[in-house]
Amino acid sequence: MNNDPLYQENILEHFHHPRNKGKMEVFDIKYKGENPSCGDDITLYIKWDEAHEQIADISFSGFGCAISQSGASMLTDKVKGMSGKDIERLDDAYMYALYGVEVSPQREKCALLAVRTLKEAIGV
Amino acid sequence: MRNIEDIRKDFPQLADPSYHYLDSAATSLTPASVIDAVGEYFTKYRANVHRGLFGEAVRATERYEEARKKVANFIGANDPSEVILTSGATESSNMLVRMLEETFQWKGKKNNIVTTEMEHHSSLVPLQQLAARAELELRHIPLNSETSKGSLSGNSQRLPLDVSFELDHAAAEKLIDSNTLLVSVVLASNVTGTINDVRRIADVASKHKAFFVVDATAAAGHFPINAQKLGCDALYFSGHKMMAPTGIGVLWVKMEVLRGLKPSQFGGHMVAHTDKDKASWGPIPDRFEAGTKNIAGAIGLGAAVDYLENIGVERVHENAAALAVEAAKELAKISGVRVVSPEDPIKNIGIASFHADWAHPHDIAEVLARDRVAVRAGHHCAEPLHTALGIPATTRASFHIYNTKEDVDALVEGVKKASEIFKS
Repeated sequence: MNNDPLYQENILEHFHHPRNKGKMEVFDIKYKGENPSCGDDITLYIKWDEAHEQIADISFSGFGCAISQSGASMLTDKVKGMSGKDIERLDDAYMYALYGVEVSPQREKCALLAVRTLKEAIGV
Repeated sequence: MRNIEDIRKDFPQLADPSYHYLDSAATSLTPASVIDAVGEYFTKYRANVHRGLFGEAVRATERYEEARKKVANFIGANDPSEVILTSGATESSNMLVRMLEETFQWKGKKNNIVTTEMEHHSSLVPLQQLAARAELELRHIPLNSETSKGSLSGNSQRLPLDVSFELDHAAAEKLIDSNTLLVSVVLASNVTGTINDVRRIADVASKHKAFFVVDATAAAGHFPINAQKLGCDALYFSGHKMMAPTGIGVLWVKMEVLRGLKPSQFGGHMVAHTDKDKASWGPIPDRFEAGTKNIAGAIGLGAAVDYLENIGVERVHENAAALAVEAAKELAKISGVRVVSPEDPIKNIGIASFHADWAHPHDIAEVLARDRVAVRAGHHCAEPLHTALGIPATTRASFHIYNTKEDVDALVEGVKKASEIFKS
């Protein structure tokens, strides 16, 4: 345990043990998002369900800081089963709530990389 | 000789003793004498230069031209007119490329430009653009693989002591040939801190009659520079990394070359006569300084040169390099840390950069910032160098005359703390 205001247990847990990390073999969408200021990148692999209405499966690969990578892990865990409309409603506040701690303005691009990449990927 | 504690009092930003400024390679702190010189211009003799006949304008012109002389003396130039004042290294390098292109009309796939893997984007990208426009081949002198990559396959524990992160001079001799038009080399790396043996490359370039350029941005104010001894035709740097304000920089070009160069920026002040359809160029250096330049910045740069010469640039290097090497040695003891800076202080400008296999540099820098340790994280505008080193980004601590052992200790403690947070 540590008393760092940002790097709390849930963020570190997702950083060390990311969920849904890895390339998918079969997918409908593959989309890469980058944060050039940090050199972070995330590639999302998305598979729709048969009706093409909900996300059936999602994974990510990439490299980056603990904030961007844990964010991708937490977000991909939440969005399975969501529709395009649900994704459209995900805003910055939703992402910050997943972190559960205050993220400084300098890390905004890291924190929002996953959700912004997801929205771009499915075009909402 | 003034002690470091006394020198620190010259820097208002260091008033808080708990603040550890280790980002001088990004921009140095400003001594009070520079702040005062700039303030005096704005409060006592704000006027444009080279124009007005009133007292303030005369004084502003004198101070501006004095700055040029001080810079010339600072870099061992023969003639103050060889010093062109610019907005910074980026403008210098872009201007120079355009001036050479306008003058020599370089063209042809047979010809090449040689630079290095160690360049900052401000030097590299204008060369890439030139190569694309003129259809020239762009070649890169690599890092010496024996000294730089010896530990790449290892598990980033401790680097061998002979790692120097130098350029491969044998490769340079092959890459520079009779079809080489231009060779551009960075004097000191802003990432590893390596001081390159630029003279050795100058001699190869000279043998093939190639135009030789030195990017001295990371070195200026940190290490003594003598443009003539370096054997270059042109050299440039920014003021803000040598205690001057931002927005002022220098492009030095050897007079025998400068006489033949065409200007690349046009407007007021640089002309002799102008009629409706054409203009003729004024004397050197005026013809290369179109428009109103950063007068306050130039005056600040002059004051910065005075300050640095008073301290002694050799002493700046001695202090910064000793601390960087000490930091590098301590950091390398932390498990998972790979230092990518020379361990020989003579070859290090004053930088300790490192990569840790347990966290991204931005995470490390954020933890350091909590304890008021200011470092830089990322690729430091030198992406190709990171690619060559096999790492995406580094955390960089850079030192100056105002840094002390306390700063090294705070850095090392902070990185240890980060390792405790991030190591699983």
